[in-house]
Amino acid sequence: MIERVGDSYRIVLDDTSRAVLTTVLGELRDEITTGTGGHLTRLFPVAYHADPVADDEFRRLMHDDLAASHLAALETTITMLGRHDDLGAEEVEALMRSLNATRLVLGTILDVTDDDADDEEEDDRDADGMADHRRLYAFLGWALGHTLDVLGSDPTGR
Amino acid sequence: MVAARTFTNRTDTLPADTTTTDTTESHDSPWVVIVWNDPINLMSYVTWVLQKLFGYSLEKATALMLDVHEKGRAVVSNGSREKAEFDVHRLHEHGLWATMQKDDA
Repeated sequence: MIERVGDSYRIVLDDTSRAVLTTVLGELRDEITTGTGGHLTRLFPVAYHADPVADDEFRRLMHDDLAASHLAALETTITMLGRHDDLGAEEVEALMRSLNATRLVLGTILDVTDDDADDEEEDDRDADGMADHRRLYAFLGWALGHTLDVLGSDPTGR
Repeated sequence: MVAARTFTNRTDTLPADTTTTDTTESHDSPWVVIVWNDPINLMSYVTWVLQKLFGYSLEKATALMLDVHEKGRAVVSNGSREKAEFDVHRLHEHGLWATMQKDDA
């Protein structure tokens, strides 16, 4: 997914994979922008789980900032996928956030549960027409895990 | 082995019981931030987020992540209400399932 180049990083994906990711991230960006789809709930979770009134107020104050933050990470990543030069640590962070956000939405659509965790890499059944979603979910998990492996134990990637 | 890094014990509805499993700072802070288990976030990603946002060592972040994974939740920060809201917002930016409550423990 990425490789370290000195103090920088570079995306290691073929053009087809870059195009697929760009399309998927663009779709998520559009859904966040329009506020459509109940499967976005994991991107905008409850903050006060024991106080609905406080949670409504928190959501009223913070929702737009949170949406803008998700969108900024997605925009940064989409731009990165169209480039072939080196990336900084902040761009890699945006990449990971975008991969994870997309995975959260796909996991919600797929209704991922504990039992799915054991076979997410191998599940090609298509009885429900969701095989492509499952493959993309598995790919995003691999991409995020690989990126974390490259960063190593230092969260700054240094 | 992606599956091995995926959280288990999904919690669709957060329980009203808010007993904490860990505290990371002093016990007299009035608000705590809790990260909840979920079946989607990678364990390695949760560890990285806790290091990144709170400056925790790999060992401490891993221990908190394992509390989330094994006990269903863990207190990852505490402090004033404003600080807790700030931390919850940052955790939400990174896709973690985080909430806050008064520390009545």
